[in-house]
Amino acid sequence: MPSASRRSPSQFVLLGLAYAAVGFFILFPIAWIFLMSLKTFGDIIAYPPRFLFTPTLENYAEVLLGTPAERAAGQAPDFLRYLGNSLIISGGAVLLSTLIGIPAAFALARSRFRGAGNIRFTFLSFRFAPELSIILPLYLIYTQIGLYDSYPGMILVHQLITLPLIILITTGFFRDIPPEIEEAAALDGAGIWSMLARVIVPIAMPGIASAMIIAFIFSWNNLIFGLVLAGGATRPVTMGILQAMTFDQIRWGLMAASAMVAAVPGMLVAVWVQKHITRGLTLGAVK
Amino acid sequence: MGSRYVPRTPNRFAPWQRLVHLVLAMAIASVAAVGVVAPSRAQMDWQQRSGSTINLLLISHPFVDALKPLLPEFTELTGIEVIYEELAEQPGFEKLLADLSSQTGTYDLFMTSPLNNWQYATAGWLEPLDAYLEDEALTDLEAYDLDDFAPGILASGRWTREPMQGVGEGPLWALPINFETYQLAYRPSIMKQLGLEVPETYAELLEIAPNLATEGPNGPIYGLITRFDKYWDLPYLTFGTMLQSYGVEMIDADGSLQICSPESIAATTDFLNLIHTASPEGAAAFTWDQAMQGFASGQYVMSFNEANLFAPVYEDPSQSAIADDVGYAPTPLGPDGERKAGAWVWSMSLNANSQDKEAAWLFLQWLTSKETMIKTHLDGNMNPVRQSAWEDPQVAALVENWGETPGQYREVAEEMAEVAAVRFPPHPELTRMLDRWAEAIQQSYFDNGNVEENLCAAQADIERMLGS
Amino acid sequence: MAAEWGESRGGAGFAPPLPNTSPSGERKFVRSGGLERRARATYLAMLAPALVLLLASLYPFLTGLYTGLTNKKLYLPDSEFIGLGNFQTLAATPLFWTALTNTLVYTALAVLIQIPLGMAIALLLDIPSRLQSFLRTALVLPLLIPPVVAGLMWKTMMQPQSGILNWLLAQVGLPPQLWLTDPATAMISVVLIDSWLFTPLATIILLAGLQSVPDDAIEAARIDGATAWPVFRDIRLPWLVPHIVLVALFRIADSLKAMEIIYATTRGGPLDATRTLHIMAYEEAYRWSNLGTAMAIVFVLWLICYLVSGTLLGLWQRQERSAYA
Repeated sequence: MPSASRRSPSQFVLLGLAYAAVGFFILFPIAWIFLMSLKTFGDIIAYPPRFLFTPTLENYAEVLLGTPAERAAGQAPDFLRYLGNSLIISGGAVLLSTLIGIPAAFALARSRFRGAGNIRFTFLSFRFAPELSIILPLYLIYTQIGLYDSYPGMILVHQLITLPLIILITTGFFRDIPPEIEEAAALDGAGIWSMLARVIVPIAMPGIASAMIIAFIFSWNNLIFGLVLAGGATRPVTMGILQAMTFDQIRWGLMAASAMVAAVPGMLVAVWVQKHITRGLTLGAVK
Repeated sequence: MGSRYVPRTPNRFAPWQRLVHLVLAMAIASVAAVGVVAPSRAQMDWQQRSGSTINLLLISHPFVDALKPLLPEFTELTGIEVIYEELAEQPGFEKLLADLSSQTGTYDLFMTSPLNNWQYATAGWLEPLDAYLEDEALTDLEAYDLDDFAPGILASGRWTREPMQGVGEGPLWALPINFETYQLAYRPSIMKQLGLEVPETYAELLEIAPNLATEGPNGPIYGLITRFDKYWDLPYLTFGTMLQSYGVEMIDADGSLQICSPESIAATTDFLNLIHTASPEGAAAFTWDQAMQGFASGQYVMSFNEANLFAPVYEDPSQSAIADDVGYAPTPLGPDGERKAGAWVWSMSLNANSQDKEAAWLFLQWLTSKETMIKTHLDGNMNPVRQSAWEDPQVAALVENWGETPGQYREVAEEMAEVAAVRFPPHPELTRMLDRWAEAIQQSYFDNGNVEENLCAAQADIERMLGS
Repeated sequence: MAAEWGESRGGAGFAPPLPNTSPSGERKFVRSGGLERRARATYLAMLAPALVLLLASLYPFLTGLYTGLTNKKLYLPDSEFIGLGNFQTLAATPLFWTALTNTLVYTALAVLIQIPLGMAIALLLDIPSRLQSFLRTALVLPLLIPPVVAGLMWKTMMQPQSGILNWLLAQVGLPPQLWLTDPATAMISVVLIDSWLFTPLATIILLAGLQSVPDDAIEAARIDGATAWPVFRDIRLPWLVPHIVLVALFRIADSLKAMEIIYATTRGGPLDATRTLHIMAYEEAYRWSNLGTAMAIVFVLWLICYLVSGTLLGLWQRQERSAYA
């Protein structure tokens, strides 16, 4: 594709249309949810749908500061606490998975085990099991050994989500690295661990970063572990969003506002990680 | 307490007379002693479990919003700390099932209903409450006044644990907190505009159904809306009200299923007719929240046999477009002039595996007492289950302006409360059977076989479920 | 098939050989004997913690599966071992086969939509332009909405009478759709929501893959006069095949057990149009207390996932080997 300055007008228009279509598909529902977070209940259920309305910050106020009753009583809202819980749980899970998973992925990518392929497939197969199959036995075990409603317990169970993801994605990127690089490093006398840390990981950073953010997102969005294995102390933010479902209705404005607030950490992580994803693996230098 | 009687004239009586006097005196003294002890029966010690903590599982409901500010009062009264988890209905019952089935006793008390309790009681997960009620050290029965509860509603919490019978007898598994029954809601201005009267019978409703539509300022206004998805609450609560008014109960007095009976077929046919005529396409997928929202947004003339608990939303201008234009009426009469209605009773039960049942009982007693209940009603917990609560002037004033005319909501609610009951056979898997029934009704809407075929197929399946 | 995944062509597995490298070229960095043994020990040590963690999760899984061999009901303390009884009952239940079909249809539709679409968007975002970084960041947004919440929101948007989608359609003169409320359109509506949520995932992985295509190969081809399409077809696409397979494996595994979206929108209806195996298992367990049946269904689901993924890998493996034979 020629660079922007050398594009013909028709290419320009096509490109613009393509961007518009993609942008609309991805962003319109988000924009609609965002608008919902600024509307009163009456505006939300109005028909025809209202694009022009008097915005209200009441939903965000309730999410961030608490209900009017709670504010009057001086109580902090639970939602921010749930947000913190999710940060601890998902952040901790991804960190643990990265620490354990990067070496494991490297071993799988480089080793000459007969069973390496089998092991890799086994990691993948842990994504096959529906959560339903383990959640009830897991609840019993957790309550018996005291891991119920605890951060270590939640971080541990989230490994089922994050570890296979990180291992499988990064294995692929490790394999993309040609062995000449390792040869060169070994000639310089580097051991396997230091080669991994100083040479391989920086080169594979785009892949590792993608893996980390994907794992973070899937862990962040998980509902069922947070429902059954977390109590009041470690409740994650996905449960917090669902609090907007009351007995007789769904409080859409509140739900939309909570969803928006809950998406902020993910957005920040994604933006921060973008820098690493966009740097390509340039093998030209190696050749 | 010994006798303090001392003879004043020691030498006037013969020895046997003195003995008789002594015995008499002791008798009188003991009666006097009992008389002094008797008033203390009304003073059980609220502080007897001070220092413990109890854990509640609460399902999101205005009741819970009303309860939360009152919790510090309980802690002050008893010295018992209360922690709770509040969840929406679906996740709440899932979590509860996980906990009850693992028998870990994480929650001491939880919100439930008779329907769910038929399963929980069968499993042995519930603690019977009668012993606690009768224990004078734990309960001030006079102040509590068990008879103040609406009899039918309290009775729905009793069951002998025999499948298919015994509701209303046997141990008490739960105490009621509020109840919901069903009613018609309508738009008075539109009814007037169309020149229609609120129908009194289902036949009348069917007659006016084709005319129940008009154009509103924002688009068409459809005839009526009600919940209608393949879920047990259809034959249990909303459509169930119509079924029962046609004389259909799931099991008749002889124990045979009535799902496929002529009256049931008639009621179902009429219901489907109504939906086809007066509801828009896609009506067979409406969940309860869509039924409420649809009416509140002003897109429908009537809300059919829906929960009277939705009224506070309809009446609130910040939540509905129709706050100043809504009226209530009792559900229509059936072909034989009968009116019956379903009921949903939110209750609270005690976990059989709770680590501190006495503390939990103290909470339950406090919660369902007259004073606490009235406070919750004033804060939005509807409908009251105690007769004294209905008579409380503040509660009456609260609902005074709901409806087309003053006091209309209360009138309708009281009328419906008289005919509302749980008329279903207790069975741990009743929801499954009702789901199957709802499926047959939904199939008939989509023209997937005719009504009789579908209902009879459902009945056959349900018979098999009962047999297993 | 699984063993072959790591072992073809001397163990190169994922990555095809770079241009100008002989296909049979040894791709492993070979050490001398003693160092090799130490290397192997190190590799084992690197692998160990991950393996331990995941093996620990086998216990609850096996417990759950064992329940599938009993007639356990959630509210009864005792249950009997009935061997394959649950499976026999399921095979005789029409709803089971409907659910099975729905599950496969859902997965097929999801993968067939999300991979090509994801690839197209990745290519678009690979083009240098001023909008590039904004769109790449915005791309992540759908993934940040929990599936359950997204399902609920889309459900209101898809409401036939009052939802925004039909209103938009009306604005451009298209007829309103019944979306989730009609058995004929419910499945594709649910797949649409799934695609909105997860196409960005495909795009992210494929974009990272595109970024890692070696520049010198592209430059060489350009110098030889190749235009965009041959460059894509002969250099970038083959390089991306492992990434495509990876995305396919993830999406297949997740779609086969998709539940949250369906649960939030249609709960399996209307008329079982969206009833998948996982939904059926969930209802058996939580609404009808048949834990034994539920676990049996879950086992079938797991088996399907295993077979489909294994077959996909085997096919890809065979194709790779024949291309370089």
